[in-house]
Amino acid sequence: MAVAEGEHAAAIFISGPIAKPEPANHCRAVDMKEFIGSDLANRQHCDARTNNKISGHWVERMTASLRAPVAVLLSWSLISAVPAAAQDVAYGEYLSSQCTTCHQLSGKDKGIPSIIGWDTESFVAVMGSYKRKERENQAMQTIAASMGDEEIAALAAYFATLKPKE
Amino acid sequence: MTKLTRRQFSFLTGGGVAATALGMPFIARAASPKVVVIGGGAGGGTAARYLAKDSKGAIDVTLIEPTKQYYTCFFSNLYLGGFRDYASIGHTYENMANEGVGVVHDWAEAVDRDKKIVRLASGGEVPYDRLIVSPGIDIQYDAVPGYSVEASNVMPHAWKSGTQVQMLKARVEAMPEGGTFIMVAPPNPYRCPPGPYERISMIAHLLKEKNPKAKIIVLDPKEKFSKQSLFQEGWERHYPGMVEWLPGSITGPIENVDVDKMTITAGGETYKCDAASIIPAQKAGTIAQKAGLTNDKGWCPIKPATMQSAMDENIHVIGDASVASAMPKSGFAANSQAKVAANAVRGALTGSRVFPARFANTCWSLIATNDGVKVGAAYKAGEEAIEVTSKFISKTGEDADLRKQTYEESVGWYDGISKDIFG
Repeated sequence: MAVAEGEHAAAIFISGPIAKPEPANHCRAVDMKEFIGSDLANRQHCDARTNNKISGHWVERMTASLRAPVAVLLSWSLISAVPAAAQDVAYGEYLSSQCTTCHQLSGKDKGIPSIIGWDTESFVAVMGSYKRKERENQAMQTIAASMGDEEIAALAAYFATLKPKE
Repeated sequence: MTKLTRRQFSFLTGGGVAATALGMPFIARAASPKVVVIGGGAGGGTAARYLAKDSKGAIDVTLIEPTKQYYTCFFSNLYLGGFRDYASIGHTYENMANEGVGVVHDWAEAVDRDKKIVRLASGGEVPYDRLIVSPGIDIQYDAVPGYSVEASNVMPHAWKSGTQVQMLKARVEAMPEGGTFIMVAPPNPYRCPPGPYERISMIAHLLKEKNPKAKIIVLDPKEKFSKQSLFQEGWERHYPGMVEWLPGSITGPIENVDVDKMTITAGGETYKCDAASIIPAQKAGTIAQKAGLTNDKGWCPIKPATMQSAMDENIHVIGDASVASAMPKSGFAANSQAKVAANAVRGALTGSRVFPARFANTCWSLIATNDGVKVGAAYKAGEEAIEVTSKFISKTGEDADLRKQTYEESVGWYDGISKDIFG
């Protein structure tokens, strides 16, 4: 799998649930170092492994070239353009009401993945990959296409503040 | 969170409204602005919940909804097809009440727009500062000659969920071997554009298992319909030879429905059937008409940025009753519009930030076991109308894995939107 190189590019590894056994057709966890050597990638990878921040059973259908394993390119400039402190959590909360029609705040993820409690960088990266149509879910591509960097950053900031509840 | 049934004592001036529990004292809240929501479906339920949740008690929210057990229209087709049990599409208002919504189970009989009061069928009155009207649709029985409320007990429209859907399923299951089912599809605009065709799919699924020689005829006033190529491909694949769709240009207009003879006449030809579903033309729910919120076509024009009625700035109309331009009449759309309205209402009453209107919709349909398809779009508020910003639709020829995943996604969505509406 090709991963663009350069100092402004990093990759985030997206996997299914680490702790649970996965169906054969889900993306499987592999060592991120095969794909990218940056500190960010390693940190994200470890976060995902230890905290399971990108929760399970949500790895949706992808193009053949992106199917297991998946590396999502992430531009440093995109994230650094919107510092965490300046991200508009209130705007994100409003925008999140578009997400909660499908994505449950309880963290329940059957059929539709949970998106709460993700770190902001992962959230931004995944939305970017939908926007670029690198991930295949049409509904998510459409929602992502309707949002600019400001909206995605605000959403990411808001969802990062949430914890599963039931 | 306090149960706000206490509020009913504070501002219901008439009798007959059951208020059972007194919560915290309401002195501190006496001056809170009041929002009344008419209709506890996908639009009204969402609006009431979000207003209560987001205002954190700064707004008194009352929902007026006659039923204590609400059955969703969306996924009622899956009940018809045997994929869901009836209880699974039923919801109560208890969670919402616990979250701070004052729920009044009654009919909204009239709206006095000058006095800003909603009159209840029981005789009570509920004052409002802002009113959100989300009454769904009314069936225009007389749009189909020979059809009536009584006739709908024999040939159910089943377009408002509830017992009509149970009745329809029982009639399909009682069809004689090799019998004929006929649907009269509705003209545009109507609730749930792909709904009639998903219903055909689900009835075909039911018949394929129990009555495989049965036939299905669709008499459709339209020349084309939502997800047409996807449905027709699916019918050919799963139910070959069973479904015949006839547009109005072939059949001519529906001339008569006779529930005693079980016949439907169109363009001079009489079709005999063993079970039928007649889905007539529709208009905004009665209360919207009584309140003077409808145009000459029976629907409620709105201002896209806030979902405010074009007739009254103190009233917002959401969901199927509204003229939402590019947005279809769907539960998803109503839920989306509710959030825009709630944000605008809260801003107007409490000075909270008002963000730009954003809308979205996705309509999933099930064609056969694990064969799900979807269509959807994102929207923005234009000056005059709600406008599409991006859209998508499933493709014909998709592989079985993707279709199964789409179906599973729809099941997840049902669970998610149910929580979003009812708490």
